Amino acid sequence: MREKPKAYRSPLWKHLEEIRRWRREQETWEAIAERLRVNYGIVISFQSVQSFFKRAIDPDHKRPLGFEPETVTSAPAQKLAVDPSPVEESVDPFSIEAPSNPIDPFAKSRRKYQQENPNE
Amino acid sequence: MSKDSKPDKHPVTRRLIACTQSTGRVGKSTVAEGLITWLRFAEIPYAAVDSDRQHRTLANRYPTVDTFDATKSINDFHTMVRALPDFPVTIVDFPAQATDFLLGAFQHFRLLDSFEASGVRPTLLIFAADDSTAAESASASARFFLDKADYLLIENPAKFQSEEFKKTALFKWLSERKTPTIRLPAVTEVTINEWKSLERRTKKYIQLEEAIKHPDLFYTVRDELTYFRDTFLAQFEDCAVPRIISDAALIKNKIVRGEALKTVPAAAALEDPWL
Repeated sequence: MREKPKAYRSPLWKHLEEIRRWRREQETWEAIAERLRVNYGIVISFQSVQSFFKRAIDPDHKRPLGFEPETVTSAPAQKLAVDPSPVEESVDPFSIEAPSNPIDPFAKSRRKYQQENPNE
Repeated sequence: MSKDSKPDKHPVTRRLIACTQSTGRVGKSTVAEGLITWLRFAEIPYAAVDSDRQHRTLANRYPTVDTFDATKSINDFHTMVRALPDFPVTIVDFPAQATDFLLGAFQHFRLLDSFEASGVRPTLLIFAADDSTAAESASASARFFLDKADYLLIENPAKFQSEEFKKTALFKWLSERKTPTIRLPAVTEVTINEWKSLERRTKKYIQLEEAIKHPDLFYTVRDELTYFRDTFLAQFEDCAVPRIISDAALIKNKIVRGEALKTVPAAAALEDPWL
């Protein structure tokens, strides 16, 4: 009998943020699929990447138990009681502060160097 | 130091290598690829960004090269400058037709002064092309950067002629500064086509280093690419200090020069663009 598919096994989850970044750089889905193949050896059609991304970012999409986005997970009540720290920026849906720019145009170069020189 | 005074001059520790000329199809990415090949060979830490979103030649071939279009907006340019890494060499492959934007952005952020103060020195690739757009944008770049940058002249006889350029005042100005010339050796169409065909067959981009050793390429193709690479390596090594790196000690691996590399590339006849 065929094994029941397990939830969240797509190798694309690890690259969700990168896919998002490429998309925001106005890459086509074909180009993103190609980059996944070249950079990570993930052979996948562009339609699959697109539908994965659509699913992954859909807030209404029902997720299996235990796979909810971490920001939604409520903090233990006890911790809130002893540490009434202000709500983090990313959680506050009414924040008017401009988010700091997380894009690092040299991310790959830095990663490569760190991998080659782990002690530095 | 008072708040208003300019910061002290810092010794050059980092190089930003780029081409701000408005030139297409002259071999900008090929030179960047040659430079990466040499930096890897010499084991010099470097960062590289492919800013040419349309072609992405570098990023396609080198998975560790980032893609980031710093010319899309002034914000993006700012993001890139803020993130400049501490590596001795950073290469940015800008798209063609971006001269005005780039010079404007450098001016906007007063980058020449702040680079000088923080030990970053630009090295500009100047393609010695007779084409008027290329020559005018080279002139605009040199006029802007003056002696706050160093220059490398590039000749690529397979792509453009340089006779008229060599008669200009700009060429004289560059010569007075002992600007070295990198001359791209010609590669026959047969070799280029076979390399591209292999990429299509294997459905992946193949780096120069990989192509040279690839068993599916005919030996003449591999030999021609080897000559191409070695000529590049020798030329970059010759002009490395101070235009590519500030300290010769950074070169961990030097090339062994055979007879072919002791002289000017011997394939001058092959470089005839009408061949």
